[in-house]
Amino acid sequence: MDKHLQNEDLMNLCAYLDGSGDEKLCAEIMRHLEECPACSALANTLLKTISLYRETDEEVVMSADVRDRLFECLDMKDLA
Amino acid sequence: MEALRSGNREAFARMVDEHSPMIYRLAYRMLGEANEAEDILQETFLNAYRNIGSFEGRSSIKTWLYRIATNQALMRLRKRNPTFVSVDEDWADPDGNQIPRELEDWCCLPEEEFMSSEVKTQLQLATENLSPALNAVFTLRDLHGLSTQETARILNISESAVKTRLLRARLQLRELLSGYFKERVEENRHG
Repeated sequence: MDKHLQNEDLMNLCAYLDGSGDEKLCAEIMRHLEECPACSALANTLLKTISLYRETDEEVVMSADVRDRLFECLDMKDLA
Repeated sequence: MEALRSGNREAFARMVDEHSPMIYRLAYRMLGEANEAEDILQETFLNAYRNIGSFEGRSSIKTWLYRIATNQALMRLRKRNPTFVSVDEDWADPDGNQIPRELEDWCCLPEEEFMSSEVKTQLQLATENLSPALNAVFTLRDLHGLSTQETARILNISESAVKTRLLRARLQLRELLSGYFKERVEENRHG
């Protein structure tokens, strides 16, 4: 792989990291990443972006008040 | 399932307790606002309560609820900004470059740089810049961990459209955040 990573390569890389990609293709991409600082920066920051969103998403919690109002609007306050 | 379909209130209440946290989280992430997330939550379960009798069980209850909530959230997002256009057209720039190249590797920043409230604001601002269609795929696939197949069923699009939109969303978010983090790297370099 001489050229910079293209969309398809990134899709394969992401699929592999998600646990569903082709191992052989990914090994080729990984080899390229070791030799290419630009693509390595792209892949690193892409993965960091995803992990930052996942971390902050875990902090979103539905409060007890929201749950109470939901049961009230469903006319199920007696079951809350 | 039979109890749910026959309108059993206790069964419905159990279903609400099981699935409401994830629906709230989905709506909050897509809309970025607590009041609107609560509206979507209530609309989703009211809609489900009215229609549970006709739920055919071709998909799981979870997928069905996700579909209702995602559609409601998408309608609100499209009302907010009706200028977003089709997302599946060719996405190369006029120079033929398909991937944006902001090359600073900001992953080297100290971990505490990523944990500030300012970063959370930046993440939210970046999400607001995604088109509703990209926002939905990113939220379902990357934040809720749904499979490509489940996401395609919820959004009624092909699996290949899910894959393309997911990569586009990830790249756009990365690019938007890179502007902010690049400045942090510069600040760290110069003390």
